[in-house]
Amino acid sequence: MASVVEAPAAPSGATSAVVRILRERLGDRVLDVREFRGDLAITVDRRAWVEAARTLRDDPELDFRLFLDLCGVDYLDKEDRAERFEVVLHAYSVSKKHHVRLKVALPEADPTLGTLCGVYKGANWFEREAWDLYGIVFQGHPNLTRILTHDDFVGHPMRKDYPTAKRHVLKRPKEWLLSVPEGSEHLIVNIGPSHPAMHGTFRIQALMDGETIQDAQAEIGYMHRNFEKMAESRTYWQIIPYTDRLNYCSSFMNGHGWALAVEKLLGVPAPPRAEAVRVILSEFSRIMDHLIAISTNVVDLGAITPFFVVFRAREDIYELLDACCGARLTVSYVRIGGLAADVPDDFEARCRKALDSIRDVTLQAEKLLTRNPIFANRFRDIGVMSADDALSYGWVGPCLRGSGVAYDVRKDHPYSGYDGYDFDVPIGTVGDCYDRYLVRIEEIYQSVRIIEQALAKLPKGPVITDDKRVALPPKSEVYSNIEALMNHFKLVYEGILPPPGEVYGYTEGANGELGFYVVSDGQKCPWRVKVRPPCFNIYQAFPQMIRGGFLADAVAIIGGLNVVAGELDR
Amino acid sequence: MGLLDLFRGKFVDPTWPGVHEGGDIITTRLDALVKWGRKSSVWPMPFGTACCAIEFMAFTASHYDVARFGSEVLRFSPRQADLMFVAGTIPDKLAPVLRTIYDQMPEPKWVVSMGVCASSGGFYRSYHVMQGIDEIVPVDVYVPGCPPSPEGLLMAIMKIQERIQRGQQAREPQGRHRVGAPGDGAIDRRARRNAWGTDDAQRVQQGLPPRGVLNLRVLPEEPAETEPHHG
Amino acid sequence: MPRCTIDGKELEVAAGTTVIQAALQAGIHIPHFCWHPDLPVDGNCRMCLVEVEKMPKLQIACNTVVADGMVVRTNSEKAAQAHRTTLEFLLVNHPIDCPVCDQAGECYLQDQYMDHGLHDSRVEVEEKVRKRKVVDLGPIMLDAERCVLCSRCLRFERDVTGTNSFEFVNRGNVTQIATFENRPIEHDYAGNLADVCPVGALLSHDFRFKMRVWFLKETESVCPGCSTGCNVYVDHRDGEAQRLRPRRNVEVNRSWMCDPGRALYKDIGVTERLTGARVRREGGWDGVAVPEALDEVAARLKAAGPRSAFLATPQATNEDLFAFKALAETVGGMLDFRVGDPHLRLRERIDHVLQRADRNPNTQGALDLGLARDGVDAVLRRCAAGEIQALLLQGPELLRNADNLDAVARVPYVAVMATHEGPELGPAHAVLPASMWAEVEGTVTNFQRRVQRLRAAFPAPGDARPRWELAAELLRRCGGTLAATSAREVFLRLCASVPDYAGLDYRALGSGGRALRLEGLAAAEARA
Repeated sequence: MASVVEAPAAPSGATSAVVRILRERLGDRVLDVREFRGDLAITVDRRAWVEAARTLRDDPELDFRLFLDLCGVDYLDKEDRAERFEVVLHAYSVSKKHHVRLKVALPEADPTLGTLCGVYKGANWFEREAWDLYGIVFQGHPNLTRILTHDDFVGHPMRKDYPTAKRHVLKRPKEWLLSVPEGSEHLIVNIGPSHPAMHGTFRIQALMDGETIQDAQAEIGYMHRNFEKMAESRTYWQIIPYTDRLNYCSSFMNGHGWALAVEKLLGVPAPPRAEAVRVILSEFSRIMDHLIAISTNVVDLGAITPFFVVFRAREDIYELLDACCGARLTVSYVRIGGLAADVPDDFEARCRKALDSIRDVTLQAEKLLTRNPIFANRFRDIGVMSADDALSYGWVGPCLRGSGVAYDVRKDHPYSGYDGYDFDVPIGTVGDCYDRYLVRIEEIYQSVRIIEQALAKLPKGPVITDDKRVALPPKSEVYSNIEALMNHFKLVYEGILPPPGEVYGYTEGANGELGFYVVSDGQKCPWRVKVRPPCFNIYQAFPQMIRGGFLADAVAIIGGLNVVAGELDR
Repeated sequence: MGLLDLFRGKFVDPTWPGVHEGGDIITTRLDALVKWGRKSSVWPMPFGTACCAIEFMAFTASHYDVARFGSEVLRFSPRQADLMFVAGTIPDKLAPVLRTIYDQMPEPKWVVSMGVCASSGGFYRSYHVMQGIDEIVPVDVYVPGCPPSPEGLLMAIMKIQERIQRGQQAREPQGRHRVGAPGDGAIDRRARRNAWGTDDAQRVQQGLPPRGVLNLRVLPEEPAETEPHHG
Repeated sequence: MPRCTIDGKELEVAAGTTVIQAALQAGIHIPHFCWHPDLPVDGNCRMCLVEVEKMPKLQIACNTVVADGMVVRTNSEKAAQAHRTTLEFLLVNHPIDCPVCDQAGECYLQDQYMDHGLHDSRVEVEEKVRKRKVVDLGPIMLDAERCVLCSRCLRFERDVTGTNSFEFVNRGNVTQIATFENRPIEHDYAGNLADVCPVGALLSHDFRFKMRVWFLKETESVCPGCSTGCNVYVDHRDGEAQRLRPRRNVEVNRSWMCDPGRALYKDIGVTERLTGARVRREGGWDGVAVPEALDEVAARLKAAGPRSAFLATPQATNEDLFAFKALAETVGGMLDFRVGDPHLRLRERIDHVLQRADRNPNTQGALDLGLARDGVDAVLRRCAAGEIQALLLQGPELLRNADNLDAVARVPYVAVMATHEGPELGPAHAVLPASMWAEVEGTVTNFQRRVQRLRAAFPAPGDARPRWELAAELLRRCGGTLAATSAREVFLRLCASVPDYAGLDYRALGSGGRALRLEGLAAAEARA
C-alpha cells in the first residue's frame, strides 16, 4: 500500500471556520491542525482543553452541541508521538452539519486533564471509561470510578502494556450503589443485572419514597467483553465478526459501519451492487431491531401478544439473511471493499416475501398498540427528554428524533448511496416514550420504502472491489496460478495494510450514529478502535430521566430506549 | 374420568409390563413417575446476557415453539426454575451474580451452557471474560454455536430430558481448576502437550495406540479363493 | 563524500556505497533477490532496477555506485514496470506451492508480489517447466522448481565457508542449482543456506513442516552455544521455541550462525525440564515448594559459613553471576567457576567462520565480575579433605565429570541449580529449578568483551526461576540483600560495582550490544 502520510493541509469549507475561531480564541494553544480523508483533527494544549470544548459548543458559528464521543488512546513507544496518551473528543453540529475531532496529548508521568462534565452532560461516563481503561485522571470529575471493569480489577486494561488475557477474579459484586439518607424511611430497590426488565445485563438502584423514585444510580459493565482490546490484535477483516456482536439485534448494520470506516481509511470504495445490497440488508436489520425494541418493551409491561406477532417477521428476515450468508443472527456478511458473496438468485423474491410479512405484522402491532388506551397511558408523557439535554447527552437515532431533532446520518451525510433513495425522517414533538415508539414505527415504513426502491434498481456487477490489496482473489484463480495464490496467502496471514492515519467512520445504526474511530499505524492490526456506541450515551441519561417518576414508569422507559448490552459495554 | 383415562388405549400399550387391565392400571416405581413428570415440564430460566439471548427468544417464540417440549413456562425467578439457560458471554463482573442465581435455584437443577462464550469464553480471550461458565457452575449440556441455532437448543432440551430420565445431574464445576491458573484460564498448550506426551508414553506401555490413533475394526479375513482369479 | 537524491530524499553517503545501500540508509526499500548485505554483489536477478537521471536505461541498484549529484527514482512508472515484469518472469515457472512450502510467510516472491507486482497471471499450470523437487541434501532440502537462480547459496559456499558445494547446471529455462551427485552439505553452516535463500528452494530439514512462520513471535536473544555470542532471534509460539535464526550484527556474526547453535532451541521445551524443587529425605527425594527448599539450602549454607563453597557456571548470565557472587561473599565461602584455563580457550577458534573452543557464552563475564577467585581445583581438594560442609553449584556441569564425584561425595550437603532432570543430579541433596536462557532477561559478555542482552521469550515451565532470583532469595535468607527485583535492576547494581561496566544499562546496550574497552580486558586478565 502506498504510504500516504497524514500531512497538514489547508482545511477548506465549513471546517476552516472551526480552525479560525479556535485560533482566535486560543492563539498558539492550538498546537496542530490536520485533515485526513476529510476528517478535521485539531490538537490543543491541555490547559486549553475545556475552553476549546466550550468554544466549540457555544460559538454560534460552530454550534457543536451534539456530544458524540470521548476516548483515550495509548501511544506507547511510538516514535512519532511526543507524549504517551491522547484524549480525543468527537462532536457534531446539527445545524452546520459538520464533525470535529479535538485532541490533546498527555504525558505518561502525569495523565491529568480538566473534565468536560460541565460542557457536555454525556462526558461523565466517557471520562469514567477513559479513567477505567487508560488511567487518565479527569480533574473535577464528580465520580471518577470504574465503570466497565469490576471493583477488584487491578490496572488499566486498554493500556498497551496490559496483557490482553490477564484476568482478575471478582469475589462479590458491589452491593450498594446508593445509600439511604440518615433519618429517612426511604427504601432502596435494586433491579438487575439479571432481571427481565433489564434487557440483558444492566443494573439500576432506585431510592424509593413510596412509589416515587427519589434518586437512581445505574451500573454497567456486566457485558464488557473487550471488543476494543481484541480489535487491537485482529486484522481488519477479523474484526467483522466482533462488530456483529455489538448491537446483536441488528448485526449486519455494525459490520456495514465497520466496513465503511475501513474503506474510508483505505480510500477503496465498494462496488455499487455491494452498496445496494448493504443498504437493503441494513434496512432489514433496522426493521428487525425496531420490531424487537417495540415488542420487548411491551412485554415488560405485560403485553406478550405483540412479541409473538412480530417474531414472525423476524423469522422471515432471518431466513433471508440465512439464504445470503448462512447465518441467522451474527451474519459476518460484509467484507472490507464489498460483500463476502453475491446474494442468491431469488434474493428479490425473498425480500418481497419478508417485506409483505413486515407490513403485515407492523400493521397488526399498530392495531394492538398505537391507539390502545392502556398502552398510551403507560407511554404518554413518560420519560420526557428535551432536545437540548438529548444533544448534550449525545443522544442519536430514534431517541434523538423522538425529542424533535431531525438528525439522521442517512439524510445529512449520505453513505452507500442513500442520497439516491427517497425517504422521510420522522421526528417527535414531546420527547416522551410514546414519541420514541411512533418514530420507530414510522421508520419501519420508511425502511420498507427504501428497500423497495433499492430492489427496483439493484445494479448488476461484482460485489467486492477488484483491488488486490484488499479483496481476496477468486478461489478458481487461487488454485490455478501462483500470482493469485500468493495474493491470497499474503492477504490471509498479513491482512490489509492501510496507510497510517486516523478516521472516524459513522453510519446510522438502528439506535443512531454508530461511529468507529480507527487509528492505523500502517500495520495489519489497527492501533486503536473506539466504537462510539449510541446506547452508551442514551443509557447514561436513564437515571436522570426516571428521577421523580414511578418505578413502573422506569420499566416502560428503559424498554423504549432500546439499550443493547453488547453495544453499551462492548 | 380418572387421570388414567387419558392414557387408556392411547399412550399405553396394554402389552407392556406394568400395564394391567388394558391400561386401567399402571404400576411403576415412584421415582420413575417423578422423573417422567419432571422431564415433561422443565421450567427454564433464561440467564440471557448477549447475542445468544436473542436467539433464545426465537427459540421460545412462535416459529420454533418450545411448548412442544413442555418448557414454555419461562421463569425469570431462579426460585421457580429447574433449568438455567446461560445464554451469552459471562464477564468476570457478572460471574458472582451467575453463581448467586444458580445457588438460588432449588434442587434438582440443571444448567445448559448456550453458545461458545458461555462454554469456553468463545473468541473473547480477554481480560474481563470468563473462559467458560463451568469455572463456577456445573454444566449439564454445552451447546456449540455463535449463537447456536434454535434447533440446537431444542436438542439441548431433549438432552436435558434424557439426563433427568437417567437421574444424571452435574454436581461440580468442571472447569474450576482454570480459575486463577497460569494463562488465566486460557489453554496452556505447553502443559497440554507435555501431559499428552506422558499419557502417550503410558498408553504405549499398556499396548494401546497413541492418543488420536483409532484402531479401525479389522474385518475377518475372507477365505482364500480356491481358484486363481484371472479377471 | 558523494551526495545523491533518492526518491526526493537528499543524502550524503560514504564513497563506494551502492545505490541499494544508500537507499536502505534513507529508509527506502528497493526490491531485490540476489543482493545480500553480507555477500558479494552478483547483480543477476534484475529486480532492483531503478531509474537514474541522465542514464538512458534502468540500472541495477545493487551494483551502481553512488556518484555525486546522482538523482535516483525507485518507484517511477518506468522502474515500477520493470519490477513488475521481472517478477512476472521469475514466476513463469514457479510451482503453485505456497500451501506446501515452508517459506510462505517469509518469501521474497510473496512480499514483492504484494508490494510491486499485483499483476494477473498469464501462464497456465500445464505450460510450466518442471524441475527436481524434494532433493535431500542432509540438513537442507532442495526444491529446484522454486529457485529464482539468485546464486546467493553459491556465493555463501564460495565466500563464507569456502566449500563450494553448489553449482548451476544446464542452460536456459532448465537451469537449476545442484550439488555434485546430490551429495549432502557437510559443513557446520548449512542452516544459513536456508536463510539466505530468498524463496523456498532451500529449506531447513529440521524446521520443515513444523510450524507456519506467521504464527511465530520473534524475540531477540544471544546464542548460548559458545563464547562468540552470535545474535539470534528465538522464534516461538505458545511458550515453545520453534527455531533459532541469526540476527544481523556486523560486529559479531554478520548474518550467520552455526548449525550446533541452531539446534540449541531443542533443549528448552523438552519434557525432562525441572519444574519444581526437591530435597533429599530419608529414603529418597521429596518434592517441596521452592521457598521451602530455599529455606533449607540457606540454613545449611549459613551454618557452614566459611566452610561452604560456591561454584558458578559460565553458562549463567552476568546478573546470575553477580547475585551468586554476592551470596558467596555474604556467606563467606569459597568461590570459583574455572575448569582449566579459560583464557586459553575463550578466543580459540574451532573453524574459520564463527565457532570457538569455549562452549560457554559468558566466560568473559565471569572473569570480568571477578568470579575467578579460589580455583575449582582448590575447592575440590578441600571437598576431598572433608573441610567443606555445604556446596552450592550454579549448574550441574561439574557433576557430569566422573573425576569430581569422589570429592563431591565427601561434602555433607550439595545443592544444585539445574534446568533439566538427569543422572548427574544424583549426588545432590537439594535441587533448585532454574530457567533457561530463552526464558530470562539478562546479559552475557562475549569473547570480544561485547555485552549483549538476552530477552525472555516466554515464561519458564512450572516453578523454575532465573538463577539470579534463586541466589537473591538465598542471599536474603542468609542475611544479605541485593536490593533488586528484576534483572534490569540487578544489572544496574552490577554496573555500579564493576568499573568496566560503569554507566551501562539495558537501554544503552540496545539490540546489538555494547563493546567494552579493550584496555579493561588486559586489566581483567591481569586481575585473574
